[in-house]
Amino acid sequence: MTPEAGTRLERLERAVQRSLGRRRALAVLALVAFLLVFVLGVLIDDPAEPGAVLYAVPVALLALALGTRFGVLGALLGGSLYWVAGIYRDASFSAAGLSYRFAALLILGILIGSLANRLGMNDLDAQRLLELAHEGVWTLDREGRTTFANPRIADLLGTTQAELLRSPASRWLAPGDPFMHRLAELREGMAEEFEARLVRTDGTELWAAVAAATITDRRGRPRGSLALLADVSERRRAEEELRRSEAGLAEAQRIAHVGSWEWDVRADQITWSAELHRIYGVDPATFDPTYEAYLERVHPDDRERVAGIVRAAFETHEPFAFAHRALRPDGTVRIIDSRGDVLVEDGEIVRMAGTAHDVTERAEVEEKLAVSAELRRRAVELNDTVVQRLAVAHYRLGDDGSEAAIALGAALAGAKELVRDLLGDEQPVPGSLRRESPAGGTFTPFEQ
Amino acid sequence: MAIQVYLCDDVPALRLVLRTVLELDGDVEIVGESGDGRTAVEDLERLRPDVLVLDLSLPELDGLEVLEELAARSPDTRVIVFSGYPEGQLGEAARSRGARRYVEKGTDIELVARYVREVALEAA
Repeated sequence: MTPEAGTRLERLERAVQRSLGRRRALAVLALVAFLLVFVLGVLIDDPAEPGAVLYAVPVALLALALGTRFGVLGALLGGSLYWVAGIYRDASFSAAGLSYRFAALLILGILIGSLANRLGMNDLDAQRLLELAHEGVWTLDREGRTTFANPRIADLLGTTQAELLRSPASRWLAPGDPFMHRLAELREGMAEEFEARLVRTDGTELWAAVAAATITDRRGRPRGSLALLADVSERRRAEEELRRSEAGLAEAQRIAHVGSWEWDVRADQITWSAELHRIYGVDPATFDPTYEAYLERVHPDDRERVAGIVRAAFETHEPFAFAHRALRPDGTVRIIDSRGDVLVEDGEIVRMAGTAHDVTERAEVEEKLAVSAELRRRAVELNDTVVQRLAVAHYRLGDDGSEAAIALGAALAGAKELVRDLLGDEQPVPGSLRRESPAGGTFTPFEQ
Repeated sequence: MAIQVYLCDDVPALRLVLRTVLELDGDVEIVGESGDGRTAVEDLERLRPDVLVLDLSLPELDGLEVLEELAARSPDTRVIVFSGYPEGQLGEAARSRGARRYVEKGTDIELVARYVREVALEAA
């Protein structure tokens, strides 16, 4: 806990204690004032006269209510009233007698004001602070019963101050939350901060940041706890959402084989996602993702090119994309599709961030498909050559019904059937029928 | 006036067969021929023949590419495809790019001669 927070907490604790003792002290002081003035009245003047008592009580209460600063003023005002009333009522009052009474009441006012101040009865600022505090102020006795609750704590828990005083605090604690346990564990004179999960009257969840301290009686014996509560539900929800979102992102990266990285250029701090570590085959616990360490994991044949692209991005501040091979520590090679962005502030690079997509499987499939397509193209071309040459022979022989012509016609039909099968359902596009070499060669069957 | 015809096929013997058959009656003049698509495109822009007899499987540029180029370079030339590929698989690709007729190699060569005279009478 910070010293400032400690001071604030201690101040509030004192304010609560003062507030709790206020009514009892008021009653005691009113009684003392009454007796004192009565005795003074008896000593100084006629014991049968009730005036001293009648005037002294309001003076005492006024001094109590106004406290130190106005106690003396109250006493002066009360004494003056008494003096003026005495003259009005009985002009024969001796000047000395009135002066004694006045002096006695003055002393009484100062005394009561001073006492009130010592007992902190008139700390109106503290009382107001408790009422207006944004934090909930909650004091509990050692059995967990509420001894004081400011309006804010009632508001936070969705209840009333009266209801809080009637019910045990456990009513608003989430099952299993160690709130009470933490309060019981508090060491005297020490303040602690923790977060607690509470349940509002309507059943909704309230997360509170709690600053707690023990309350002691005048002899220093613990008699309960003071807890200062601030609503942090929104922050907890945001944190939870962030956790969920980060977990979701990590899962998505794992499934898509896309890792991400971020380079805080000013702090020269690079962070890698879990999936990026997996892609490069390195252990997050031991691998330090520096730029040099990254280049070490780039295939030696691609290293210079990759370093050049990153250098260019530093100079141009432009986004970049490139493919390279990664060399895992176990010697296996992965094909990575990398992309990155540069964040610039006031002309200076502050951050680079990007993704690395492991496209090894896709690249392998694409390569196989390309090989397969090329093989098929060659087969089609070869068969087309056969068809063309058979066609030439067919036209040369002519359809004369001879055995040779029939056999040639059947061979031509067979070759065309093979071309039909090789072409399959694929729709030809311009360029797809381009030959690498002419089908005719130098074959010229006709004699000129 | 004779029908001006250009032949494009990568088999010289087939070009010879076509030339022989088409020139037989004297109403057709073979104005040029080539064994690859690129030479054909260049020649066609210059010669602007009435009819082109075009193979599809060609070096440099294939027959479908020649058809696309032809639309810009010699739009009045009418095209008869003469190919070893089955019409069922290539016919639509050729017609959609402007070919008027499709003749599979191996079928009666007279069919090409008849189509040349037919398309020569059709509007460009």
